[in-house]
Amino acid sequence: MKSLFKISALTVAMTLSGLASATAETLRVGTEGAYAPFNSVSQDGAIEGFDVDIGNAICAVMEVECEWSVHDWGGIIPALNANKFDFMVASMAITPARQKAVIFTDPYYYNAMRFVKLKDVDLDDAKPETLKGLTIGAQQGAVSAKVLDDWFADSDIKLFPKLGEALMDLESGRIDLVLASQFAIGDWMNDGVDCCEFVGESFLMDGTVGAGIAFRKDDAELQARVNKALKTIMDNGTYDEIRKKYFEFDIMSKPGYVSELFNQ
Amino acid sequence: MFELYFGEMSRWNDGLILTAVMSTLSVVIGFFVALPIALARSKSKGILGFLALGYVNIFRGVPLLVLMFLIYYGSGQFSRELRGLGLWWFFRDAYYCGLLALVLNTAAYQAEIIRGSLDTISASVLETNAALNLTPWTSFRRVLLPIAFAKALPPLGNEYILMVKATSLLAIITVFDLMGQARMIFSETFDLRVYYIAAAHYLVLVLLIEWALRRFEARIKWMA
Amino acid sequence: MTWLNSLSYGSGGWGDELLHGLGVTLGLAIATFPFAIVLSFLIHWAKVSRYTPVRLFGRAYTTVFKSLPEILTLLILYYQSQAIVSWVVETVAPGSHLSISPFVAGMMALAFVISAYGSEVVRAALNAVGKGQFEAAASLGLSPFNAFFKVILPQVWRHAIPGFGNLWVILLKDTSLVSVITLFELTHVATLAINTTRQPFLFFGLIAVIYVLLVTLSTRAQKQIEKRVSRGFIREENGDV
Repeated sequence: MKSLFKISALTVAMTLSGLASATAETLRVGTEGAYAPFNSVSQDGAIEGFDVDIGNAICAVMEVECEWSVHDWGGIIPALNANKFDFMVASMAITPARQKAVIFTDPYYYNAMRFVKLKDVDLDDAKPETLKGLTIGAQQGAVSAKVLDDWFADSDIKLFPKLGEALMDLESGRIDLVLASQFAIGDWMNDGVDCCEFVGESFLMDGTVGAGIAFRKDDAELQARVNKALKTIMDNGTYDEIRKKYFEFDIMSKPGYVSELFNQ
Repeated sequence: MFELYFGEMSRWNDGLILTAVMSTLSVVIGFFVALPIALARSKSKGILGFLALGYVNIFRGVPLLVLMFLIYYGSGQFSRELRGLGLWWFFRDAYYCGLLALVLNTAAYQAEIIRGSLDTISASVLETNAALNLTPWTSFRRVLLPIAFAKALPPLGNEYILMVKATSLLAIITVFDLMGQARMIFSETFDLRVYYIAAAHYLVLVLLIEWALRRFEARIKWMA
Repeated sequence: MTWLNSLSYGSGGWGDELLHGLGVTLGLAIATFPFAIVLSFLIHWAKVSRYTPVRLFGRAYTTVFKSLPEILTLLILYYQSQAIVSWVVETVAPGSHLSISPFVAGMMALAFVISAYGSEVVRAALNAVGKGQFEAAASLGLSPFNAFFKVILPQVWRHAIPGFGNLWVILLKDTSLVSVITLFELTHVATLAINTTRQPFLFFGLIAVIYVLLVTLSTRAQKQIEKRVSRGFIREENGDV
């Protein structure tokens, strides 16, 4: 509750920062806040998750104050470029299209996507030919939407502003499958959902390198500093501690690409 | 700017058509839903009038965004029950859900518009009808309704324009109208100019509708 | 009765968060309304200005903000105003930042939209007061400034209250759109609650009821105010000269 008040205190006033930066440097970090377990807004209004812990660890190494805010996924890159915050830790996959608009650090994990299906839908594998005619949901502007567009032209594709909304529609049976981050889906299924199960293998979109921290193009200096701090937390064990908090398995192993999977 | 428009031409056109179709459908269906409500508001002092007032107050009070979420995701929560009732085919479809929300909303506003114009039709018209031995139904259908419609046309035209704008909320329930396409292109290109192109579409669409309405009003002015 | 738990007040339920969201909703509407009213007068004057560019501006303003969906106006203002402000701040004081919060962007967008309609309320109200009042005030030697604030404005309110009352209701409901740019108002809190509880019917149904109550209360209050300000006036609705 307290932090919800804090958020609204920030939202009520225009936030002026940087002018009085003589003491401690404050950096503004943006995320989506609707992508558990990576970033979400808890019931008491706190912005939390793997991304947030990683971001805070990086800020600790850099000895700066970090101030988090949440932004709609569809407009998060424009928000960064409009200087609404200084850098973004939002599990954003590094893709060539996005690299035209922003710059990234090295990947901080590999966010492979995987299909989740209704248990009622009879499927052994998720390939373009087996999913023909079925309705698949994904988040608008996410890499999974691009994969569906490129590879699953014979399926009915439905795009949602938020991942949670796609999953709600899956649970109610409006759609047959969702394609999204296997970790985000796993988190949702651990939450007492028994409608659905994974199908097929996990994969990355061609051209993606992994999830990276994003910056404005003219902010290469900050990018270098954060990249260095990211290396530090990966080397000194902080990263693994955070990872263990959320995942029992390695998330730095790189899955195969979609084209290796679907091009026989 | 040009490549954002011409490069995505088919998506812009799809969105424009959907916006035009959904807003027109909702206004037309909404009109027929509004008629009995307006009559109940205007003529009935009993339970019907009370129910009609309740309808108007509720659906003018709920923000359309909330109504759409409620109908679409709210019904999803009861998909099993709705299947049992044989209604799921309707609620399963985002287009139907969106149209339902738009119709419920516009019917409340249109009912008040039509009631207003029904109330201004003078008693002498009714007396004349009685003198001509018209049955109440014929009198309503052939005389009252056309006059009420002609009188209500300017505010109904405004309502049409409001619905063109209201369809922009369909995108939140996965129906890709003009605004939905714009948000999709925006989320792929990260270019703010996409929204200016959408704005230009709406501006032209609304101005066209206003122009058409003015011409139509001029033609049936004698009735009002 | 798990649904009752999810609405409870405190750390187990969303009751306190919803209440806070309601506060932000009301705060946004209350903060926006005065701006919208002042803008309504300014835009009306622009539209009747004797300077053609000003007049054209007034007309373009109303056309644009009445034609664009509120949500589009909001998104454009949210991103565009930030780009402009950032550019200005960067030029004036390099290295510092000024963020336009969703609250401020919401205020701007809603005030622009409401005032486009409000300028027509002002026009009708001024017409109802009549030009004669202004001329009479002028002949008594009052400056145009005094004539407006001492003679015209007190009379305008009586005619403008129904129109502005309607706009207040529209404003109240339109605040829900600001949830799209992640302002933590009532609708946004409900979507957050649904993210974790997966009970869309309960939460959207509940906030729908809250909005209806707010609108009903507003309409009641408006009727009271109308009664108050028309005390001392004979019923002249039909015979207003």
